[in-house]
Amino acid sequence: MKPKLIAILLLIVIAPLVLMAWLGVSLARNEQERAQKDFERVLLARLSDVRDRIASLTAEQERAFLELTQVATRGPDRLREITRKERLVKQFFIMNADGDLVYPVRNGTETESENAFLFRTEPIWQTGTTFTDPSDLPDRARLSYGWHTWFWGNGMHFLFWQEQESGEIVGIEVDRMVLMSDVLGELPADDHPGDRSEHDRIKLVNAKSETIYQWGPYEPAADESPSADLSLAAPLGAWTLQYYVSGLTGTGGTSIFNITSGLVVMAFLLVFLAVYFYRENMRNMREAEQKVSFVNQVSHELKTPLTNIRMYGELLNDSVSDDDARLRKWAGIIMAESQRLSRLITNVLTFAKKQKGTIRLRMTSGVVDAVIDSVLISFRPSLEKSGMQIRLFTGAPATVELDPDVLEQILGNLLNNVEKYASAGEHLCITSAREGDMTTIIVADSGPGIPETDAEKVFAPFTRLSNKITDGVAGTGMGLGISRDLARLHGGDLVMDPSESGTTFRLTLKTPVRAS
Amino acid sequence: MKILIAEDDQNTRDGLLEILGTEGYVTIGAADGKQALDLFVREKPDMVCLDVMMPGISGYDVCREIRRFNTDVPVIFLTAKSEEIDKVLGLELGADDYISKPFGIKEVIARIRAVARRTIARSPGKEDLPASFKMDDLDVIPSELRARREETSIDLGPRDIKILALLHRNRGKVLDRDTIFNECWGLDYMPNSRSLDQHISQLRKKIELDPRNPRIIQTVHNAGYRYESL
Repeated sequence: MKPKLIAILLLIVIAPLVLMAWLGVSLARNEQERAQKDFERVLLARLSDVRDRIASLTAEQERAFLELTQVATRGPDRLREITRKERLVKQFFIMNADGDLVYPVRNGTETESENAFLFRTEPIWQTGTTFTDPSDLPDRARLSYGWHTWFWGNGMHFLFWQEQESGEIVGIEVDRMVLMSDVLGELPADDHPGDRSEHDRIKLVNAKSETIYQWGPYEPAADESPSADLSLAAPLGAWTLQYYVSGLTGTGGTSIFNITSGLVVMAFLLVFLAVYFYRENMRNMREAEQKVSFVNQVSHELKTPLTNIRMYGELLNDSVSDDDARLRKWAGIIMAESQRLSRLITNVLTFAKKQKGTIRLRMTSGVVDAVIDSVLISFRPSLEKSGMQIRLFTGAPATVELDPDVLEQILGNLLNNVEKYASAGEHLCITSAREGDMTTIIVADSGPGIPETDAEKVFAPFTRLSNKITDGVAGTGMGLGISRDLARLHGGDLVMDPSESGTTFRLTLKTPVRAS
Repeated sequence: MKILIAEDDQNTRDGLLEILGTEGYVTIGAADGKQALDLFVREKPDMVCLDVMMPGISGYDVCREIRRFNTDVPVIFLTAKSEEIDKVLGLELGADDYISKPFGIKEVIARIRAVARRTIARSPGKEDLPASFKMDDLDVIPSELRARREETSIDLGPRDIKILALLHRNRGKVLDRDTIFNECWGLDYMPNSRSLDQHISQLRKKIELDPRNPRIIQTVHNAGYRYESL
């Protein structure tokens, strides 16, 4: 099989597959990304539910704290009493409008727990922390309040504060253990069936990424990243909810499977088509080869009877008396026709060789002018009979390296065309000349000529110009094309020169002087 | 000079025998390879023309067989396929030349004559050929199967040489057709005055400057031909 055909077949199979694979993978990737985002949204929605639940708990606690911070009587005793009663309250504190802590203070009357509070909160007071409402635009209808968190000891501690109308700030240190316990109480139990998905786990982690609480059956690897995460609202903003899911679910995997399946099916289809076209092509080529082979065989078979027709025609011609014009004419016709048939067969065989790629030259020594003479001998009678004057200007008498059979075939085809199409002309002029290694032969007739626009068309295989000159004249349209191929094989060319009248063909051949 | 022609197509074979016989060669025809080998051994020809495709033993095999015990005899192949030409010209077969089908008489004669000339040059004296002689302004060189007029070389066949030598030996005498036939064609050849006249006519075209007014071979009406030495 020809490499070109293989390349085309491969292209037919591979190019669409590569394109489809590229499109499929891009599509799958987009699909996967989209599915991932959708999935993350679902996960975030679940995490949001949890956060909202915690947030509502915090909000409820805030409401309770707001009531507590507005207690009218703020004497230490009253505050200590509330502290004892309220499980969430660990310690009250009061700052005056100037930002100074006025309760509790170390004045000898402080309790042990108040002293511990002062110790825990020392960094807050030392850095002169101001409490500001986190809302950008605090509602002027209400007093400012908010949370303040800080790290101390082994964890985060929480302060809730509210500004009073007097400018004082009344705050509460929230018992972190109670708060945490309340928060965890809001979260599903580890064996809660309602919130349990097949392969997931939600973790509540602190700022140090330590797991505070987790639920769900899935056990993520130590280095596994969460599929989604969400920070809690203040005051638990340092804590994060993390969602772990076993594997990347969604439609990505399915898409890749679908696309791969599609590609495999398409590949089979394309391979089937390629094989089909290959077989069709091979069948056509085989048929064409058989035809060429048949024509080749027949042409060779024709050579033996043709030899006999030509040989006996010549014997007849030699035996006929010069006086018997009629018999001589008939013998001449037999000879001329056998030579015409011989040229046709030679052209067919050359064409078949060209198709098979076996056409080649058989270089030997010869004289260009002698070949011109010998070819002209067979054409002279018929050309002169039609009233054509033959002018021969030979200028290539040297013995050179050439394939005389090829030169004879080309000249035979050119003169055959003159005989067929230009016999109405008055003269035929054949000129030969040699320059360097090249020999040029010009065959010019004064016939009706060929339009310049058809100068290349006449060399196309099986092309016959259709006009009043060619119509009705038998021909195969092979001669000039084959002649040009042969001339090029012989290191030259065959072209049609523009001429004012008639047709001029210029044949060049590479004919180096043969080394003796 | 004796030529063996091995060609299975009878018409081609007969045509070649006729052409080469007229040219003055002694010819033997073989219809297949086996007959060709038998005749080669029995008749010892000076040249062999072999068709490539023959029934039984092919031309290639005949050539190989001949070359086993005779490396000198010239072998010319008759081929129909160009592929065969490459083979016959290859060193393996050692052929001297080839003639492509379809061939014309002139081509056959020219090729055979060229090989014959080389054969004669290789073994001078083997052929019973007269020494060079001059007729009018024509130098006839039998050993080269050609004549020369100044710078022009004219190819001649063995029979042309015989006719010219006969006329030259009997210069001034009129030779009748029977004499010419017996001397140049042989006693066993069926006389045919027409073929003699045809041959003379063809010969004149080759050697005479003006064939219509011949100076070398003159016709003596109702008697025969004569070469009149000037």
